[in-house]
Parts: sequence; C-alpha cells; structure tokens
Amino acid sequence: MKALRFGFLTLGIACIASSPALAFSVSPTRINLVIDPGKQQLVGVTIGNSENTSEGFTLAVSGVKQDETGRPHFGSGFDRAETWVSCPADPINIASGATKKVFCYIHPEKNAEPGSHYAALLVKKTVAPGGTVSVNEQSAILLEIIVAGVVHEGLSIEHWQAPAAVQTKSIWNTTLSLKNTGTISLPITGLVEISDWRGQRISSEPLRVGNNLLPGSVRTIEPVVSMTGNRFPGPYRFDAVITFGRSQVASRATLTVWYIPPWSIAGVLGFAVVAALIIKLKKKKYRSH
Amino acid sequence: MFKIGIAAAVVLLFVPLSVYGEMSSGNYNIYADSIGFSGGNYSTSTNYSLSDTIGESGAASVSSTTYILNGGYQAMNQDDTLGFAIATTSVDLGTLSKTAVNEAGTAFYVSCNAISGYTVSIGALSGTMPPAVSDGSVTIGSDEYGLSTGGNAAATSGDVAVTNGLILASTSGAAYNATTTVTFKASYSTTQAGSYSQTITLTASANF
Repeated sequence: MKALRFGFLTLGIACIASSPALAFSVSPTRINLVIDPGKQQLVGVTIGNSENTSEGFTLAVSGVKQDETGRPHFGSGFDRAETWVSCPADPINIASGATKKVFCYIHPEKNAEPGSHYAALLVKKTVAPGGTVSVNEQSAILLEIIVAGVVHEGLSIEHWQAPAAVQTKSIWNTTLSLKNTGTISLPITGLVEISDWRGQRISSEPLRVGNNLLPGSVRTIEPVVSMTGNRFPGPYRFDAVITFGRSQVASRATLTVWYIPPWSIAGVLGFAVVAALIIKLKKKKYRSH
Repeated sequence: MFKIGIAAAVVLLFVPLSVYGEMSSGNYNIYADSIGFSGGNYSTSTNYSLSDTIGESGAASVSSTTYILNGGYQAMNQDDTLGFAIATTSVDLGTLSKTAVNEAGTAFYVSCNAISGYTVSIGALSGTMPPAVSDGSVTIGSDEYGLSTGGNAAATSGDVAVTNGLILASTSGAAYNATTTVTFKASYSTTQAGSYSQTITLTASANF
C-alpha cells in the first residue's frame, strides 16, 4: 500500500515536472569588478519573465560565503561588501515575455581593504502564500568586488591525513583541507606525488581540488590515492602539492603511510610456519641423538 | 551580358555573406554564428588560448567618449544566464494522520549555462512544523517532518530536516532544464497535534 502511494506521489510529481516553463531568468550569474576604494560603480542585471502573466520582482542584497565543498552559502554579516551595494527598493514589474535591466551601485568605503570581497544580489519573485508549505523562488547573482590595492596570495594545507598509518589495501581515501589565508580568491590545482622509502618518486596523480577558493574559506576534499603496480611493503611518502593563485606558488604537505600488502603478510606467516617446522624438526633430531 | 552575369555569380560564390539571427530548438541554442573566408580555430598553448575568425565585415571596435561598439563574431560574448522555476508553489500536506505519513511534493527546474554549475538551497524559512526528522526517515506515528529530493542534481539522501542553508540540488557543470523533485513528509503522534504551516524560499545561483 505504501509502495502504491509512493508510486502515485512520484507519478504526480513527474506530471508536474513534465511542464518545465522557466518562470524567470537572471543574467549575468556572476559579476566580477575591480574598483578603487571610495569610488562608485554601476552594475546591471537583466531579469527576464517567461511566465504567461506580468510578474513582480524585488531586489535585495545578501552576504555569501563559500562552504567546504566550494558551493555558495547565503546569509548576512559575512563581508563588509554587503553594505557597499545599493539596489532599487521598489518592486519591479515585468510583462509576460519581457526583460528588464536594473542597476545597482557598488560603493566601497575609502578605507576598504584591498582584495576580493563578496556579496549577492537576490532577485525574488513575489508569490502569494498558500498550502501547508509555501515555496518561493529567488535567484542570486554572485558579486565579486576586487578592491584595488596591494593584495596577498596565501594558502595553507590544514590537514592531509590517511585513515590509518598502516594500510593493507592498495586504494584508500584521504582527507585534505585547504585554507585561503590571503586577501584575494585563488585558482587552485593539485597533485599527489608518491615516493618510496629511498625518496624515489614512483607515481604522480592529479588531484581534483575544485573551483576558486575564496579568502578565508576552507576547502575539504577526500581524494582517493592508490598504490599502482606491485609494491614492496614499507613506508611510502605521499606529498600533496597545491599550486595556487596568479603567482603559481606551490604549497606542499607530506604524509607517510606504511603499506603492507596482503601477499606480504601471507609470505611472512608462511615463512614463520616453515621456520617453526624446521626448528621443531631439528629439535626432534637433536633429542633422538 | 550573359558572361558578365556568370562572372558575377562566380564572384558571389566566394564572397562571404552575413548570416543573422539567433537559432534555437527545443534542446539547443546557437547564440551567434559567423561565415567568413577562414579561421574558426581554437588554438592553445600552456599560457594562452586563441579563438580566431577571419573575413567578417564590420568586425571592428568603434568608440566615442561615452560608448564603445565592438562588432563581429568575437565580440558576441554572451553573459551567463540562470533560469529558475518552481512547478507548484503551494504544497498541501492535508490533515496529518497518526496512521500514515502525509506526503506532498513539487519540483523545480534550473537552466544555467555557467561552466561552474549551479546550486539550489533553502535561503529563508519561517513558520511552525512538527519536529525535524533526525534518523533519515519520517515514520508513521512519530512527530517528524522532513523532505527528500530526487533527480540527477539532487543533493540530499533519505529524509532530511528542512533547515536554512540546506542544499537541495547542485551540479558541477552547465545544465539545461535540470529537474529536481522535492517531497515534503510529515507525521505526528497525539502529543504534537496542532496547526502547521511553513514558508520556504529556494535560492538558485551559479557556483563560484
């Protein structure tokens, strides 16, 4: 009965989902601008209404930061830039099928710190509440305001860990945390270099570290590392090498893991059994004499 | 006279003609095109990339003190666009029952041509609902409320609490009309009878 009900519900939602008319659109989705402290700049946003009726929209300014996966998280009080943006307060009515361009002022204060600052422009469609759960929609335009001046690029590797210091499997997950310690957003790339106990590099794999890392943001990923080929047991060194920023500086962290493959454990056990047998036989022979 | 006509036709065959207009179908949209003598290549090196077109007419930059007009195919740099819609904005869970989990749903659609992809999250929340689900499933006879999502871009697993900032859908690349279903679920016991309603604002945005 429960399965039947779930089936009907899914079918109902699928029927609703089969008529995709995009209610409204915004363009651009991201605005990047460089501005001097104390100066003013105008940015334009185009709102399109693809509903069959005229719709009302409101504009608001929000704070935005980056979560540990690199995705935007909206709120307030994240950055001074939230107070630098002023948009029209009146509702904007757009006729069916029409677009309208609206403008907001960006005005960083005279003593604004040079570097990347973030805010978001929220375009909200006005909807009358109804039902148990009333669902409204809004779109956010990400705003990167780079205040001109001397900026600092910096990145630290906060964690680079394996689940255990001894591994018997050839593939395992690691945890890597990066933090932008500078004042400007950083493009980042990474790789893992694996070296044996003599320090000789045996392989190098690219790391998927994601999109630009914002100032003050932490990025946590779980890269999978693997021991390629048949490797002898012993300590192996894993270097996470993260290249960041326009300056292409590399930051490095090292992790040492003892790799003990199952075949080596079986070999040691086999050797121990054989050695025990030999000793036992020798003792028996000695006693018989 | 006839020879002149033939010669003119041959010359016209080799003269680049302009093709105007944005072309679109149900699945594709060609924003701009160009027909010229040559070019249309995309070349790269370690540090640079070059997109070239050759033989267009009017492909120049003209400026005054107030405006700059960039002409030609290479100037047709289209801004990213984010389209967002919700199928039904009013979701009715009906009268809550002690012998069943009340479920009702909606769906949202996102088209976003930003190469970084998009994220849809709960941007604002108000109202009163039964206690938030915490064990991954809204079950009969318990005081629980939550939601589940479905679709290729869905970002939740099982029944989750409806909280501010909850990410419902996300992609790491551009998407066209990506559909995510949202099913709201509520149940109650005798201890939690009452009147419930909630207003949720979903926020769609491109990723950084």
